[in-house]
Amino acid sequence: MSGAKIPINLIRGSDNERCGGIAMVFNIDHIRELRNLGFAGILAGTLPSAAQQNAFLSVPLRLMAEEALWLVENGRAFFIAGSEVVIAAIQTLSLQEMKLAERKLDNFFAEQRAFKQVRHQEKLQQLGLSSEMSRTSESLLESSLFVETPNSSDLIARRVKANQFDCPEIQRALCGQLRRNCKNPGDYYVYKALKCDGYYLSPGARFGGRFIAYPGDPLRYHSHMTVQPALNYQNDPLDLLQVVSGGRLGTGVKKLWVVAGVRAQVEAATEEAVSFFSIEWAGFG
Amino acid sequence: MSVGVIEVVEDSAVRSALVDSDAEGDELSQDWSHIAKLSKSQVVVPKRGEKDYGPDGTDAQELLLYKARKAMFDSLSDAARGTVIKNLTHAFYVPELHSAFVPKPKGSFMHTIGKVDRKGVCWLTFHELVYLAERGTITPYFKHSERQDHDLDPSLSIEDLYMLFKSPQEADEFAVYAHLKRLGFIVMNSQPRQEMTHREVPKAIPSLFQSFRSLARRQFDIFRTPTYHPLQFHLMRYTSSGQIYDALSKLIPHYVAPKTIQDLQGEKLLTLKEGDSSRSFTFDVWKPQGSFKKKAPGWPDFQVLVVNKNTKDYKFPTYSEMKLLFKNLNTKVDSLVPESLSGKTPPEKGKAQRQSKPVAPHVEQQRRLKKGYRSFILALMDDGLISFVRLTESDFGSEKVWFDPKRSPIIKSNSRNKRKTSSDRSAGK
Repeated sequence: MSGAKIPINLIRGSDNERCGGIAMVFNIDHIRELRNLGFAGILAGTLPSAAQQNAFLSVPLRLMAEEALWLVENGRAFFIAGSEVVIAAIQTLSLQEMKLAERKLDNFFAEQRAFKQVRHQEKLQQLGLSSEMSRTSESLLESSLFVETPNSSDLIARRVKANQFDCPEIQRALCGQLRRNCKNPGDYYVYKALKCDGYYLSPGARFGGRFIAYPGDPLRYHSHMTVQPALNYQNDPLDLLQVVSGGRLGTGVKKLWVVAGVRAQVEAATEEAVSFFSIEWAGFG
Repeated sequence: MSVGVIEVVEDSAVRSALVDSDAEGDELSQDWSHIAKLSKSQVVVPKRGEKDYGPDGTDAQELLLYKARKAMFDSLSDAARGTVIKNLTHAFYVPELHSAFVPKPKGSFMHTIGKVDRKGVCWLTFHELVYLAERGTITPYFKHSERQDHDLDPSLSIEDLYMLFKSPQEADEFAVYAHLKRLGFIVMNSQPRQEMTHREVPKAIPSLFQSFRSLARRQFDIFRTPTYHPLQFHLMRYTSSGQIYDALSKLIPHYVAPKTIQDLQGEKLLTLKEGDSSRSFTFDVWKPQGSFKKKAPGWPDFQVLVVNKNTKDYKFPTYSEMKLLFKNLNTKVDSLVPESLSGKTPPEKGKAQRQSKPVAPHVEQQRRLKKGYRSFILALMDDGLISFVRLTESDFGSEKVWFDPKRSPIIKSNSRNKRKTSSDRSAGK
C-alpha cells in the first residue's frame, strides 16, 4: 500500500484551467499515510457522529497547494481533476455494474442482519428468554439496517484505473495550473525548504503568516514559527514598521516571526536558494 | 472486484465458525468490527491533550504521539456516515440545475433548509445537499436525465459530491456554509433584494412627522456646515469651552454613518444609480431561532462575504468596495441603532426592550465607538482554516469625546449661538 501513489482530488469544476483547484484527499487510509509522511493537512468535513461542532472534523482532508505540489513532484501522489470525471464515470456505468453495486449493498445488509441477530440472541439468552425471532423484532431489525454514504468513490477509482490519470504530461499540466493560481509563487520554495528540514507546516493566517511551522506532528507539539509570505531576496523591501509589528505579533503568540527570501525563482531552484531570518521582540519586562 | 473480496471474507468466516467453535468469538468480533461501529451511538471526539515543546527522541513521546494519532484516526473511521433505513431520505442531484430534489422530504432539517415546490418536492441547493449528505441526514443519488424512475440512479459518495462543485470558490463557500451550519446558524445564499421592501416602509410612514423634523434639522445643519474661513473665528463669540470644541469639530470633515432607518433609506435612494458592486455578499446568516420561517425569513442578522486568501486574484476589499458593500448591506436595522440615538425604538424589538439598568452616557459612548453601526463579516479562507473578520462602520466624528453634551445641553446652546451670530452679522453689516 505504501508504495502506491496517493490520489489527490483537485476540486475545481469542469475543465476549469484558469483556477488551480483545491487539493483534497478522501480516503482515511491515504490520510493516515500522508500523516506519516509529515503532512497534517486540515480536516474539513462534518464528523457524522458529532455534527454540531467544528473542533474535530472529518474527511475530506484539505491540503495546501504547496503540499499537494510537493507530493506530486516527489512522486508520492497524483492529481485527479475536474467534475467531468464523475459525470463520465456515471454515464459509462453499465447495468451490470449497477447490479454489482446493488449486490454489494445487499451483502452489506446481510452482514448487518447476521450481526444484529447474533447480538439479539445473546441478549435474549442473558435475560433467559426464548431465542425466537418474532415478526415485530424482525421488521424492527429491517428498519434499523444502516445505509452508509461512503467517503471515497468507487466510480472515480474505476475511472482513474481506466484512464491513466497518472501520466507525466497531465500531472505536469495540472501542477502548472495549480502553481500559477497561487497568490505568491515564491511560497512553494519556502515550503520545500522547511519541509526538507522536517517541519510540519500548516496554513498560518491565524497567526499572521503564510505558514506555521511545527517541529513534529501538530497533534503533540507546539508550533515554533510563523512564516511570512516569501519575499524576493534581491528586490522586495522589508518595512521596518512591518518588522516591529511582526516581531511583536510573533512574541505575542509565542512564536518566532520568520521572514523568508527566495533568491532565484526558477524551476531549478533548490532549498539553498531560500534564506530565512527570524525576528524576536526583545522588549521584555 | 471488491464485492468478490467481501464474499470471500464472509465465506471464510462462516467456514471457520463451523470448523472451529473455540475461535468463534474472536473470529466473529474481528470480522464484524466494521459493522459494529454502525451501531455505536456515542459521540467520539478525541480530547485535546497537553502538547510538548518539540520532539526529544524519547520513546515516551513516541508512545504519546502514537496514542494521539490512534485516537484521532479511530474517531475518524468509527464515525459512519449515513442513516438507518427507517430514516432514509433520498436526494437526487440534477446536473443540469446543479441542485438536488428530495421527493419525500422528512426530518427537522426542513425547518431551515430547502425550498418546497407545489408538488411537495423539496429542492436543495448544492451546498445544502453536500452539507446534509456529510451529516448522513440524506443519501445522495445522481439523477439520470433520460430515466423517469429512480431505481437505476447511482448513489454518490462524498468524494463524488465534492468533485461536482462548479469552482474552487464554490467549494470555499461551502466550507464557510458548513462551518456556520454546524454552529447552528441559519444560512442562506444571499440574494440581491429590492431596496428596503415592504417590511420597512409601513414603519416609516407613521413617522412622517419625524421625517419633517429631521428635515427641519437638516435646515439647521446647513447653518452649521463648517465655513472654512478664518473670518469665522473673528465673528464668533465663544462663551464656553463647549462651544469651542463644537466649532473645532466642525472644522474637521468627517463621514457620518447612517444610524436610523430614515438615514438608511436616504442613503439607499442616493446610491440607487451607482449600480452594483463587483463584490456582493455570499450568505445571509440568522442566529439560531425557533420561530424561523423559510418563506418570510426577515432581515438577516449578518451578511457574510467569502474570500480565499491564497488565490492569485485575491484582494482585500478596498475602501470604495467596502463603502459599496455597506450600502448594499441588508441586515437587521434595530441591532445597529443604540436606543439613545434612534429616539424611538423599533417596535419589533419586543422583549429586548426590557433593558436592565441605564448606563452612564460616557460608557454608552465608549460602547458606541467600539461597536460601530453597520457591519458585515468577511470569511477569509486560508487553505481550510476560516478566519471571520467583522468589518464595522464607526463614527468618531459625530461623538463628542472631549465635551460631554449630556452635562450641558449643546443643541440648545448651539441654536442660541446660531441666532446670536446671525444677529451679529446683521449688526456688522
